[in-house]
Amino acid sequence: MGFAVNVCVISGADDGTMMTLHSENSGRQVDAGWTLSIGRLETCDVCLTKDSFVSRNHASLHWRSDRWFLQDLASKNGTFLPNPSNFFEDQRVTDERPLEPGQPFRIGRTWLVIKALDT
Amino acid sequence: MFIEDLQTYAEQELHQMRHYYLGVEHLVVAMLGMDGSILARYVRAQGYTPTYVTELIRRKIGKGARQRLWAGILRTPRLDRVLRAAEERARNPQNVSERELLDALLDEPDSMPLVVLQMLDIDLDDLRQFAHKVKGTGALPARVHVDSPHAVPLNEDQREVMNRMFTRYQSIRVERQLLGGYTEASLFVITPIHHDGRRDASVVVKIDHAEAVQDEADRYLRHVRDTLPGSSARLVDRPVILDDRPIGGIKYTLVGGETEAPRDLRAMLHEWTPQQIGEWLQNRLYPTFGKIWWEQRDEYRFLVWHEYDRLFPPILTLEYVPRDQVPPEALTIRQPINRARLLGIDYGDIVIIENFAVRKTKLDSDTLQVAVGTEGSGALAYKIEIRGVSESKDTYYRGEVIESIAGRVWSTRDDHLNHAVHALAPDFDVESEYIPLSPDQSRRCPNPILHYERLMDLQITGAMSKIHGDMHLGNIMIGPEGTPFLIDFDKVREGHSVFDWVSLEISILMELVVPLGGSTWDDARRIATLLQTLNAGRPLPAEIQNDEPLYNALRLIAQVRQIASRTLAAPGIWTEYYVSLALTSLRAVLFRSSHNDEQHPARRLMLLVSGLALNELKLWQSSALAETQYPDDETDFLNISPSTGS
Repeated sequence: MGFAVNVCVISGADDGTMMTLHSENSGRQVDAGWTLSIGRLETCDVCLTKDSFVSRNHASLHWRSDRWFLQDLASKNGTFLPNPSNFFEDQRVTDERPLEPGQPFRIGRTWLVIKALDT
Repeated sequence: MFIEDLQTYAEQELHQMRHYYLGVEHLVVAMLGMDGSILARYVRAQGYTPTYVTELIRRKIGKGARQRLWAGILRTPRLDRVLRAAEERARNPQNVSERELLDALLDEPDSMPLVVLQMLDIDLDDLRQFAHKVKGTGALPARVHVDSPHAVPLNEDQREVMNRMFTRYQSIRVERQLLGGYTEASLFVITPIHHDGRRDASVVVKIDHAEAVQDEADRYLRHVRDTLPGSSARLVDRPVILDDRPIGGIKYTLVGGETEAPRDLRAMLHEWTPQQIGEWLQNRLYPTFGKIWWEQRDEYRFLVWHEYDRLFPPILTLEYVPRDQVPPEALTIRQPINRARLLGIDYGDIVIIENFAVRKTKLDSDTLQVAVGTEGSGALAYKIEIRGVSESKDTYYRGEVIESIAGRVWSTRDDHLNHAVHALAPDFDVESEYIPLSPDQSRRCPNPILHYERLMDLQITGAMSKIHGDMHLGNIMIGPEGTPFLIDFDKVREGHSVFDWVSLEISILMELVVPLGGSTWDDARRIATLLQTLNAGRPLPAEIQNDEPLYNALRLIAQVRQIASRTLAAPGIWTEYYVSLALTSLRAVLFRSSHNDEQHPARRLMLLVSGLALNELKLWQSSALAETQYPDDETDFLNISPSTGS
């Protein structure tokens, strides 16, 4: 079974970029899940080269049991989610966290959001 | 031309933020910064200053690194799209107007600056309609007639805020001013009157700095709105912010109170007996708010400074020193804080502060206040003030984490406390380990200004719940039929549950007990001795029972303690209360009331109350509870020997 997703950049120098990823040519399929890598390296599925706060292998996104999970890979400058009680204070993620649909997340200084694929 | 001016502003913004790209966030900040722009006018009409919104956008986007990854300035893909769309909308693509640009921007609602606007409850469709409706500057609203039957004076700023706030009314009646917070805010009870003479229910209007007003509204939305009992003070409308001055106002509507103007509990001190007040607190106020606030408590093991450092003045005040003038041996302050080293810092030392967050930028006084943590997130402590920051030529915004900044120590918190105590004309040595509790010095208590820092270092067990954060007599309101209301929500947070009741005890001591007890140090000692009896749970001595007003006032204190006992983590274990009391009363030694500069008698008593609380802690800490929870060197913190730091 194949997967596809849109990852949108919503801040920083790449703001407004949308990356469409398909499991045929991106990420790793594990069991019934799918994993995408995020980082500065060109081999990453979501490659962010214009933010110097992004580590080479910064974080990964996992799709399993019908939802997305965000995992930090011991990045230097951090992976963040908005604090539910105060949008203006971001919470650093050090482990794996589920992502609500449409919830923005921050890799270094770059905000991203996952969008359902337009079909 | 609009678009050219805008680009100039936007480029300034990107340089200040160390961004090497131009994006829609810079355009939005530039629009906010242009006087009379549609966007600036719209956010003002929604109760926000353009500066406030700008700082939140900056905070969400963050400053870039000093190191560049490319030469020149890139344009983001979104900016290209937006500018193209705006040019397509414009009749003359060379001359895009703000309306066309806004239209194009609003088609991209998931861009960060627009996400920020939406988080502030700003309706983007309404903004678009506004952009199409407005032409030039709108007509000035009609003046509201102000009637002040009790001759409450209003200054020009206050009149202007009222004028904007009650613009659809024919007139307002100023019922009274509520006196006495320890901030610069002023509070009024106002009855608005329609053009046909109908009166609406009275409201409480708070006027303060624009930034404080916007923070309070934001805090209300996040912490308070959904946790209030059915009848309560509510912020229904957005704040009003003046265009040309950093002054604003908010309006508390007392839902449930429809007939007569509400009174604050401070005013009731003159109308009700202390018994009546105590019964009202116990039977009306506590049941109304207790269930949703203080009783929703969790056990909370915390370092005292996490909760209480915020009450005190900055731990250090620094004069900015440019980086190239910092000597290599300068001390660096960073997390985790080494408190012993921090407390060893002296006048004239140069220190480097790393990764502190900006709490306040006071541009008029060229001062920056930084701290570990921020208001909303758990701990907020180690406030440090840095003066002369304009020399750094850097822009700072609230919430920004500054990687590194240095300064020379100008004053310390201890200096503030020492000055405050000296101003009270002490008849004892301010630097001695103990201060006298009796004229012949036979009874004494530890000197709080020498020991409070050690108290801050303790880890204690208490209860945590939603708290008001500033519950003094002036913030408790009584509506018709005795309905209880609280107002002034700018310090509401998850915090130490007993703090609200400690604050109320202190407010009652300062405002009810002290005026009955006399104004000298010996008068303060007499009251302190009576409070010590109360602490011990012993009956007040017979002779005081003849002084009925004072006796009743002290009974009220006992009753407040009784209510407070319900908010303790463990029944009957008062350690957390006395820790809170020792620090909250010491803070009160620093109070300069807005309506009474000469509060010396009350502040004298506060120093003694703090010392007494330390005394009580010594008793508690030696009890079985303490031994099971603390290692010796920490529990024995008042076993006084010349301290060399830890």
